Amino acid sequence: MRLPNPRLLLAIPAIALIFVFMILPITNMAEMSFRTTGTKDPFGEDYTLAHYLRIFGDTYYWGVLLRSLLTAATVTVLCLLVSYPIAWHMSKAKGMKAVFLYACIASPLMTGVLVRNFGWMIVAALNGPLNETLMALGIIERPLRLLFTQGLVILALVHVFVPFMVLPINNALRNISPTLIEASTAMGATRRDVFRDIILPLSFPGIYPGVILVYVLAVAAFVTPALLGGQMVSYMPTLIIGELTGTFQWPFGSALAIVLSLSTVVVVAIFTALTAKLMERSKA
Amino acid sequence: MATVEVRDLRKRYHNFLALDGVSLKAESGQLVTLLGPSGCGKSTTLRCLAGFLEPNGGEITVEGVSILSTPANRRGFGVVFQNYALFPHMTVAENIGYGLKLQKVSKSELTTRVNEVMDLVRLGGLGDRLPREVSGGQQQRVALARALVLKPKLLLLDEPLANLDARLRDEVRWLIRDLQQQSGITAFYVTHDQSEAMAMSDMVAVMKAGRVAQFATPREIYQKPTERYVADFTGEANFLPCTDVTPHGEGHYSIAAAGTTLDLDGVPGIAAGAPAELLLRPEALELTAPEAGTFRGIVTKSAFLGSALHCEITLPDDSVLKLSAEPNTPVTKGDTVGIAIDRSHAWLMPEVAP
Amino acid sequence: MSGATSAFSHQGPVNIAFGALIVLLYVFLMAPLVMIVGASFTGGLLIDFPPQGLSLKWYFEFFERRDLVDGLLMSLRIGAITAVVTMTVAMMAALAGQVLSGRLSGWFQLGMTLPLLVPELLTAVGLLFFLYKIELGKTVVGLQMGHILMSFPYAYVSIAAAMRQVPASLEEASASLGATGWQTFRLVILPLVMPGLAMGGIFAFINSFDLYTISLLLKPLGGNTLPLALFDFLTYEFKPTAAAAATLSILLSILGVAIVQKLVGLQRAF
Repeated sequence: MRLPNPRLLLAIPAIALIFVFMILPITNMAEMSFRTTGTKDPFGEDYTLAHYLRIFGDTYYWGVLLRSLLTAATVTVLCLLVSYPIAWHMSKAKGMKAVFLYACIASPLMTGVLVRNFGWMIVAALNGPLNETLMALGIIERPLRLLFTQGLVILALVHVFVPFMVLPINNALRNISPTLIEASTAMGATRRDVFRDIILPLSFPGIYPGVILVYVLAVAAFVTPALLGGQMVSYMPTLIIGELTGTFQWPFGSALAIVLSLSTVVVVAIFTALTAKLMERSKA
Repeated sequence: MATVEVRDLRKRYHNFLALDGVSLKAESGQLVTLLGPSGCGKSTTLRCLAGFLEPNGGEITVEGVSILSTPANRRGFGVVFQNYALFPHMTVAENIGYGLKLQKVSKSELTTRVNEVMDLVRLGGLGDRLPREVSGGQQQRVALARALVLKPKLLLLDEPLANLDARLRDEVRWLIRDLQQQSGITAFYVTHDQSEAMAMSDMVAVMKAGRVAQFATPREIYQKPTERYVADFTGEANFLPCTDVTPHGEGHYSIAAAGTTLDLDGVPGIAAGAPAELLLRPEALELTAPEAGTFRGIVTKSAFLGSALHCEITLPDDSVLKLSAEPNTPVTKGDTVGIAIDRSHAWLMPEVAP
Repeated sequence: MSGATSAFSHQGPVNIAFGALIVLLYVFLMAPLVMIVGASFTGGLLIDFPPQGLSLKWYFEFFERRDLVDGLLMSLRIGAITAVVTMTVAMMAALAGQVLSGRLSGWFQLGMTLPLLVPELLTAVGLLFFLYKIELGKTVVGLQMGHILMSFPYAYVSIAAAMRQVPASLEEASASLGATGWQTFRLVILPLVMPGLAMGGIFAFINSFDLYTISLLLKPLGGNTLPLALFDFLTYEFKPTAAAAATLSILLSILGVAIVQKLVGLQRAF
């Protein structure tokens, strides 16, 4: 019928960039996971299911996968708990105060993960500020060893991802009409009722993308566990990078990456299915 | 300046037929209004004329030459948008001079012509302001000046008054009409406001679901509509169902309605006994003593509107007539009254599916 | 929302507790950054708290370390190229995206932000193999492509948001006044989206400057970006030199935040 608008041609470089340097390579990686182990090259010529069978047959990998998924879930929940009050507070700010609060969220967001993790290394040092404060408050008697623990990894990951959660929730909260709150107050709702019945459900369109994004990014986070987790605990990303750059087991590393991705997709799908009804109702 | 003809224009969006064979003609120097509710295809027609949309079928000619293959930027038409579409980063004078600048007109000529047209639309002294720094009515005039400064063959106006308040609307409406008549530019004007259409146009096309329901002068559209839809859209109207339609020559009929027989004019070509409706504009009706009128009925509503008394009268067959009476007429709800009709304002139309 | 808040204003203690919580959360958010900046000016060592004396010696040491300075220069160069390329490509894509409507437009948006939505690790691993295959493995060009890919969505999102603020009728008005497509772009669209375009460039630059995982997998032989150099440094030497380098990085992001605020306002940007 009609020719497509010639202006669409301008999208070609962008589409080419994403297709050639992202979609093709990831497809390539899926193929790589079925290759045999190479002797000279990082991968062999033939195809095999051996890598997947090895992963599923070894409780060690099950354990690492489970730890990765659970840690990411913990990070996501903590992130939500930390972000919601911040987003709430931010959504009510106006003028210069709002600008300042946005800057407080944006500055960490625009600072590299490595730098922020390094900040935690200083904070959590044996006689660093955190231990000193806790001792001064009389909560602990002698300094805790915080560095290279799972707790610090979780704390640092929460710190990394808070902006990703705050911003969409803040936007959703700003979209709630104040008249809704006035209306429910007029009908006799207490502050708690208003929060539970109006604000929380209507902010879900912000919570949902925040939760998904943080979870997906947390599962695959590499820098933080590598820097703050030390050699004590293994997560999937550190394992994968180790296979690829340490022992040059490209097919096996790929299989691990595929398994990690697929399990993440399953978790996201379950979360989406469980909250579909809420999302449908609270959509603007 | 130019005769513009639209023939059998068709436009389809996915499964929606926006234009289903629109045909119109504007003689040189005429202002043609496309009137209709939203979604009737009036804006689509205008956008096809402007070259922003490519129709799926049909033809548009200017002075007999097809313009469909000419892109919008080479048609040389002036367009005034509903939201004015002023360039926010350019001053009023820069907005008006934009088209001249593209034509590489010399700086001195550009300044002269911009100043000329700014005086014409009474924007003198505002040239250095940004669009957001002038009032809505002034923005509207900037948009008009920007289109007129290029001396377009055809002026296209898409609901140009929709975003103005009532007082300004009146003022700008006359300004547009004056400028259009002075310069003799052929113009198409899109609106959903029937009084605007009546007041400004040489010809009105009443549109309905992607077609032109009637294309005629404002007077004909109002007094001699071809169907109920047109009558309804162009002003207050009463409709009475008729029986015993008997034609007496071209466009003359005798009918029976609400228990009375009447002789009157109507749309030509209604067959004997065909279903038809009687159109009675409120000004065709006058209150009389109960026994003096053509009809007799009971006042079921009356409201004092200052300049007039608005009444609704229910006839014995339960049909209702609305009319405006002289404000001091002594009637109240429940009174029995008579209604006289001015037969020159009565009009018979065929009944067509809505 | 202030009306509703005042309806509950008698609940004073709740408000005070909430205020304290907010302060605590912001302390959590800002503490690591503040500590880094503080530590970079210390006269003593990183592990000393509170810091001992004020000094700029760690900055001097930073600029004397070839590995760190080379990393910084490489990061700046790759970031600059990334910003220019992504701005151009994203501007073109946003112009094209503008003519799409409905569901198609949604898919296009999603496609353009894909590198942001898929974990960096996955993309990095895929690219590692792919670049090896096309013989760009362990080259600066390969690393550069990875950075362009990962930073593209930031540029695209900013520019597309700015484009959406330009009503389609402005383009039509420009065309009806005789402008060609290129004239309309240069005289109408470009001036109007300039702040968004600049913001996209800044985001792309800063994102590239911060990338770690993808740089680790794609790093060229003998070349390190600043984050890579910093990681290595931290693994072997835990000295305030790292804090000086990190402070420079924080300064850069604060500068970016300030420019973005000036250009379009933070509230609209995020």
